[in-house]
Amino acid sequence: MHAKSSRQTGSLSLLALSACLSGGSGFAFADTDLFFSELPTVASISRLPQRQADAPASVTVIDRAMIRASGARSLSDVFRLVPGFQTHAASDASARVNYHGVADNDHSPRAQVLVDGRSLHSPLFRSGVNWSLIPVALEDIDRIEVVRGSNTTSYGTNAFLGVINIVTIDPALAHGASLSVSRGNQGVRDDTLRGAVSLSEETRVRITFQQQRDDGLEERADGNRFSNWKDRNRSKLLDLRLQHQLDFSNTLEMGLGRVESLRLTGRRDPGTGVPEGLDPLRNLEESSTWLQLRWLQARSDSSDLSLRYTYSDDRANARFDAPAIPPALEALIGKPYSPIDTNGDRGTRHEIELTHTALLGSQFRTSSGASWRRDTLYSDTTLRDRSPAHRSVSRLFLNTEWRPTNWLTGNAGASVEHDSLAGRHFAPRASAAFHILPEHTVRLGYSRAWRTPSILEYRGRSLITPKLAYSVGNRDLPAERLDSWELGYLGHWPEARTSLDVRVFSERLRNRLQDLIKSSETFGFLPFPAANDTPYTVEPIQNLHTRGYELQWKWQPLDGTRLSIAHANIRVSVRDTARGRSLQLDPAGNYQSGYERYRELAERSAPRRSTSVLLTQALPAGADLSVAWYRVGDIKWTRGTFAPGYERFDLRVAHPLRVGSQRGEIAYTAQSLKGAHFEQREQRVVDRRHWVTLRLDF
Amino acid sequence: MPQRIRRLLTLLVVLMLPLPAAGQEIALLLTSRDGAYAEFLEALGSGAEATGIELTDAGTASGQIDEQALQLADWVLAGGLAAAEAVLDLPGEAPLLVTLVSLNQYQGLVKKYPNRDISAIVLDQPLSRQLALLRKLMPECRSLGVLSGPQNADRIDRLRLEATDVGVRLVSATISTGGELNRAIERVLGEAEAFLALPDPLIATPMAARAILLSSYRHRRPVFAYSRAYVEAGALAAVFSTPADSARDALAWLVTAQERGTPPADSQWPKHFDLAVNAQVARALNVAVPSTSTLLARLRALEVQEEP
Repeated sequence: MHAKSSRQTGSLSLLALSACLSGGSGFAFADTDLFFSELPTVASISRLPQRQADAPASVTVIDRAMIRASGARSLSDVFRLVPGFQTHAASDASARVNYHGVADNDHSPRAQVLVDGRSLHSPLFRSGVNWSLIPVALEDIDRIEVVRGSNTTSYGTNAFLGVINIVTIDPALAHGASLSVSRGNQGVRDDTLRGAVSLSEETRVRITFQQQRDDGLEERADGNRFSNWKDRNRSKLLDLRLQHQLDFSNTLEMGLGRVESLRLTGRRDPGTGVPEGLDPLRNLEESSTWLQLRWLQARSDSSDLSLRYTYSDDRANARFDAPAIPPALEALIGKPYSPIDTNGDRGTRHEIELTHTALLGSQFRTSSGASWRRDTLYSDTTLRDRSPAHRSVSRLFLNTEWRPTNWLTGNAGASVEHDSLAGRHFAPRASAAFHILPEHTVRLGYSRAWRTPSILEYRGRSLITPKLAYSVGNRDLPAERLDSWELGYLGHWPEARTSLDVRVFSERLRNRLQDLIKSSETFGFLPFPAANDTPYTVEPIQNLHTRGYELQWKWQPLDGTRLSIAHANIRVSVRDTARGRSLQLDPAGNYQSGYERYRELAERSAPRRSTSVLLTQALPAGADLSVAWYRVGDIKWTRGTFAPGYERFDLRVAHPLRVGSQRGEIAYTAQSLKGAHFEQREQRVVDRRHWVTLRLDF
Repeated sequence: MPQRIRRLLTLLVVLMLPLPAAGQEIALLLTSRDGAYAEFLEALGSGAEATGIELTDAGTASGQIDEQALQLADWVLAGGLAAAEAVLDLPGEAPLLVTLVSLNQYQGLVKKYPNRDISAIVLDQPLSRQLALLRKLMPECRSLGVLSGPQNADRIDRLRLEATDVGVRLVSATISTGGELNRAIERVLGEAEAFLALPDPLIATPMAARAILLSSYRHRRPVFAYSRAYVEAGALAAVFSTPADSARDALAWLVTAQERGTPPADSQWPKHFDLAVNAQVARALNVAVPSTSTLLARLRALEVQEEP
């Protein structure tokens, strides 16, 4: 190649060649240089995969193939495949994902969800994850590493029950452009446009635009009556990721994007269909906008450094005008605040994290670092006269892996976190993995984790009128504490192409917080001595003891056949905390009257048994078929609702398309093939939803 | 006109000189004196004394070229493509040994200068050696992935034959533009148990190397490469020849050439080679690796009797 080009311009090419050799920083290689030039370090310590047998916890890895095979349309659906996790189809309530139950209204604050290191916990969504605002398209996910257990030490408080670590496709690996269009029943209309391009030899960017729409679940009315709810969803996502190789050891990554969701919320009168005054049927507009910058330096083949900055800005708006009240009542309780927006308004987060990963000798691997973040919540309705409220959290952490021999891996770590609202928390963890045979590991582990309450749980002040309060925060709340012990087994039989992962656990959760509690302490919060002015608050009322086991079995009997089975068995027992006992006796409180419901929620927010089976079969001509079967026991998502156990079948068939040089795929996906069942509550019928997807690759 | 005169003069000089049986003139032209060339030159200097080879410095292609020295020489040794082209662009009949070039570059020279006597010791390693390394580190490996640009398509066929001989199935893809790379990597790594990176300009750019390595971690498949830098970047292992190895091979070639009076071979795989293993990658991918010296000794022992 070089010989050809030098025919006319021999001296020029010589110059170019020598410049290349002496400069060394240019990335354009001549042929000889292939053998002697440096290359950027890709195998930095933190990028290399870790052996699952060395991990300090049970980890389920969901890869691209499994995501596709699952037939999932939204990210939350994928977790049906992970033992110990619960989720439900979205309706007028957004989907939630919990591990081992412990459900709360609206959002999931106990499972940590990270996308390329960025936590999706938001001050606006009560320190939880809004599953309607997932900032990544399923097609852009490379793999999901799900830690079954807690890991406050590595991921901060609120990595409490489950850690979902989403790794998106590196721009270097993304290719070409593709357009995919889905159309189906229940108003499913999804469009996705993805592309990746090299801006230079050092810079690559991938970009995705996705729009998803559906008409929600079918509202089934009784006779002439309306259902008291209605749902409809629309979301738009723009996600851009850029990766720039600064030199041989430094990489800069930038991610930015925005996701918007529009859905219906509220209630209507079942008789007349007229929206209810205090919770009218209305649009809930939500959005999340983010920017992330990450600088990664491979300092040597045994240490690397990462500095990450994240900014996110989340907004929600479901504002409505307060209904008018009779003048006599107004004279008594005051003029109602209007407009009302219990979902709003805005939450922002700045976060900086520095992480250093190093190999010390041949036995130790450490990961240590520090982070700082500042959360701000703005809300006229829920932080009346207190908006905005701020929170700063700083954190130091250290994790060490020790491999003294080939039959033992020890892991130990600790973190200390200082929170301007929650105070100081120390979280240690330790585990020992015994590789009793090269492919068989038994692990014993202990960890302590914390969940600190949200800004609203501490500082909330939701008033109906200047004289009448609806709910107030509780400044004295303790953090929830989780002490868990686990015994794990990981076996791999390469000849039989099968593996088994078993986790037996005992988790003690102290100070389980519940909201919507009234007590004599909040009585008279406002200087208006009316019987019903006792506002709701949050109280640490229960201690939970959760025991059980999870197993996951994978088998590839034939080249084109894969089977993955997951099963979890969970039992929760509840005892009142001292605070719970005193609330039970509180005459001004509501805990006594609602006691059974609180107890049931605690005990039944995780099904006793749940099973999933995913079978994938390669078919002739590059086609593939996958079938997922789920069986979930009775479950309660909130105090007032219940969903009886159900079975569900999902199916996906895909066939590659090739017309001339044009490639693509046509796929048919059906969820809930067996038809109607309940997942979240009895009124929300999840019926068969199916769609056809056509994808063209360019 | 002056060139013709010079040629004539040269001819006269050559005819007037008696042909010495030993102590023939060997001129050396390097592409430059930096980096790999400096290492090559140093090894050549120390090796030349031991072998009794005398070299005449003809300068560098990037600087001054001593044309007279080149024209007076019985043999010319060129280091690098630019040096080889500089020699070949000048009139002369002396056989040329090119080092520090790739096989592709050598083939390009032969095509471009069909009437010249060109030999080479290439930087590329023989496929048998690369397969031997694969077999030593992954004895159970039954499939090997490989990608190439159009330039190396023929090499894939040879590799397939050699791989089949040792019971390894080759999973290959040929791409014609960089844009096809990622899809091809994905397909090949999805099927093969290990990957062999070839020194092909289309798939050896830093961006491509990054994509190959990242994909290989994703699939937990080791990459075998062709340079120390590739191993440092994240490949599992590589056999390669350092500039010093090339210098030693060149001297051995020249000794034989002088003894026989003819070039011993047209092109020759390097006989001296080195090995690099990335211990971190081996650990992460769960590949048991003996010490580099043990492994190197075993590989060398395998080849003692072989002649490419």
